Order: sequence, then structure tokens, then C-alpha cells
Amino acid sequence: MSENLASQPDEVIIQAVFKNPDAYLYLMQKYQGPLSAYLRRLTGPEEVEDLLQESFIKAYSNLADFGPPLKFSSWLYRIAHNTAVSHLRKLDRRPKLVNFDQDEAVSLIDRIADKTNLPKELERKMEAERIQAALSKLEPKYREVLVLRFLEEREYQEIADILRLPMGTVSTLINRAKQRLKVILEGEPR
Amino acid sequence: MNAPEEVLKAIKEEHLTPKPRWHYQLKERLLWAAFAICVLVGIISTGFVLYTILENNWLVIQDRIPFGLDLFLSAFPYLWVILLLGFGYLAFFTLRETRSGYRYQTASLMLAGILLSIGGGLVWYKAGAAAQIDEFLASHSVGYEQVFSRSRIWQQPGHGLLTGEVVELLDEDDFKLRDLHSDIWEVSLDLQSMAPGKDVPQLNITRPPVGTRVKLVGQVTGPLQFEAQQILDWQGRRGMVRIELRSPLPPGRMMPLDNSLNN
Repeated sequence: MSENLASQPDEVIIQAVFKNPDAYLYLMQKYQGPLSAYLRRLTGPEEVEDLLQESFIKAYSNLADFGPPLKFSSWLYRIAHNTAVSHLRKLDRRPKLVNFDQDEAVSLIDRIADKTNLPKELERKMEAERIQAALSKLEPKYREVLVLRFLEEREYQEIADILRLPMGTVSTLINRAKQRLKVILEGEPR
Repeated sequence: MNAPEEVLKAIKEEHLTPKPRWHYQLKERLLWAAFAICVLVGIISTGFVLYTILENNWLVIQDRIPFGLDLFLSAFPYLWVILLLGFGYLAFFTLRETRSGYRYQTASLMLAGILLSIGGGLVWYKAGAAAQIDEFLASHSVGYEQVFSRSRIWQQPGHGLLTGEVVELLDEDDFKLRDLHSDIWEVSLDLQSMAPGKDVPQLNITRPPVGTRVKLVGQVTGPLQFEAQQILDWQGRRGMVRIELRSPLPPGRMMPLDNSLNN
């Protein structure tokens, strides 16, 4: 298997996978890190490894289902998201998304604050624990879009493709999530 | 061994292969076919709703049944509205399940669905298909006409409305009519209403022939006896009794009295 294949666009690697499953290793290695982080944020650190493997196997089995206009990363994130959600459903749990570490929580707030009118003073004084607590109070649908937008740095269309929602709905969810988070943070005792 | 290597090992050991592309293409086509069928049923149902609403002689009906719950209950096209809503939802659901269906906004889909249903339904109704199928269902399915058809509203003799098929012509301008419940009514013509001020013996009256489906407006005069003030074509507003003055003119040159030809 040529090492050059690893630097090729996803679509080229996918075509190679149909001829030789070894090529799938490049795709998995490329997305292992981001998908692990995303799954950890959805379910917690314990189950990440199993869910990652399950997601990769599902993606492999359904590889022929991938095609334009989706980006491969969106398609793969969607599979990971569905795998995590159905896993949590089996356990009768809702996505927690309180599983980011304190740096991630602060980073998320920083990025939201850049684009909204969260008071700078508030932004600076906030401790990471308070931010995590505030995030855990958000409804899962709002936390999901905030994570995808500001931690995973996905475009609106990509988020729409991952969650299978219209783009207008994603935009509305993100705006509402920011507003709610702001309200929660401002109401929190310091 | 890390996750990618574990997965690759599992793929090889279990001889996993990607599902063939046709599997997804077939699923996608089936979804679109189901969507098309749902849309078609929605359009047909809308056609029937329009047929029920537009084809009734509301001026005549309202004269007999005051606007209110009674009128609504006897005129509301339950079956078609239920089908329209049910298949509308299914169409929405199947479209959402297609590869790119989730990209459409619910509001846009609903608006498109409403416009498509009304547009397609109008074509369906204007082409006369709704009327033909209503007739077909009425004559081939037990209970359809009594429960679902637009004819229900015309089967209210207590309100002076009656519908059915002419089954026999009797003497003195009377005829027998079989209604929706298969009761046989003896119908007489109220000639004072049909040709006011005219001398009855001077009139030449042509009744609807046997087998004709008609709507009657009048009143009950006894058990299964009905006096008709208007006899209308089942499908439209055309008068079905032709009344002409007998005259010395040669046959075929009679002077019509138009008041019974149109309501």
C-alpha cells in the first residue's frame, strides 16, 4: 500500500478501499483523533474506544452509501454521532457533553464570546468549573451544536449534514444555545 | 494495537465487505417512489375535498339547512381529509428519509405540499376524475356513499333534500326514486313552484329518464312521499325537468319555460 495514498483526498482513498481494505487504515488514522474527542464529549471517556471502533466498522460496511454532496468528514461524524446516541439510548442516558476538560470548556466560551456580546469582564472572570456547570444545564440539542460549531469547528452546513437538520434550524439552534448559555452564566453566582 | 488497527484486523478476520452500492440506490428509489405515491394520494384526496366543496349547490343547501354544526357534519369530507393528512405526513416522513431530504425546511416543505396538493387537486377535480371515482366508489363499495360521499348532504329528506336514481316513471308526472338507503320514494312535482302562474293542463312536462341520478329540493308529504320543487342534475346545477307550454306550433317548436332549467 503506497504511503502516498495517505496524503490523497478522502474520495481517492475511499475508491482505493473498495479495491484493498488496507487503504481504510489511512482514513481511520486521519479521523481517529477528532472522532475520539467528539465521542468523548458525547459519552464520556470510558466508552470512546469501543464506540470509535463500532463507528469505523459501520462506516466501512456502509462506505458505498457515502457520496456527494456530503463531505466524508460530515458523513463519518454523523455515523459516530448516531452510534453514540443509540449507545446512550440503550443505557437510557442522554448525551452528557459535560465531558470536556476545563480547558475545552473555557475555550468554548472564549469562542462563543468572540462572536456574541458576552461581557468581556464576565468572560475573563469565569472559572472553568462554572462554565462546565452552565454547559451541563443546557439541553443536549443546544450543547451538541455548540460543541460541533465551536470545539469541532464545523461549518453550519457540515453541522446540518451531521445532525441531519436543515441549515436554518442549525443556525437557530446555535443562536438560541448562545443566548441560553449567556442567561445561565449571568444568573450563576460567582 | 490501536483502534484503526483493531478495526482493520476485525475487517479481515470477519471478511467484512462494504454493502454494494445498489443496496443504497434501491433504498433511495423506494423512498422516492413511496414519496411520489403519497403525494399522488394527497393530490387525489385534495381533488375530492375540492369536489365535495365546490360541486354542491350551497345556495340551495343553505336555504334548507342553516349554517352550523349540522351542515358542517353532513358536508365535511372526513375520509378525504383523513387521507390527505395521513399521506401528507407520510410524504413528509419519506422525503426526510431520503439522502438529502433533511436539508429542506419544514415550513418550505409544508408550503410546497399545500401548493402542490391544491394545484394538483384542482387539475384532478377539473378533469372530472374526482366525480367519476366518487361515483365508482359509491356504486361499488358498501357504505361508502352513506358515510363518505358528498351525496350524504343530499340525503336529508327532513330538510327537504333528497337524492337517488329514478327507477320508474308513473302517471301524472310522478316518478319513483331509490335513495341512498335503497328506500323507494314516490316523487310528485310541485308544478306551482316549477311553473308559477301557468295552467297545468297546458304544460308539456319531460321528466328525467329512468336510471338518471338526480338531486331533489322540496318537502316530505307523507311516508316515502316527496314533493319536488326543483330537480337537479346530480353532477351540476342543471334542471332535469323540462316544462314547455303546449302550443299550436308544430311539434319540436314548443315554447320552453326556463325557470326549471336552471336554479
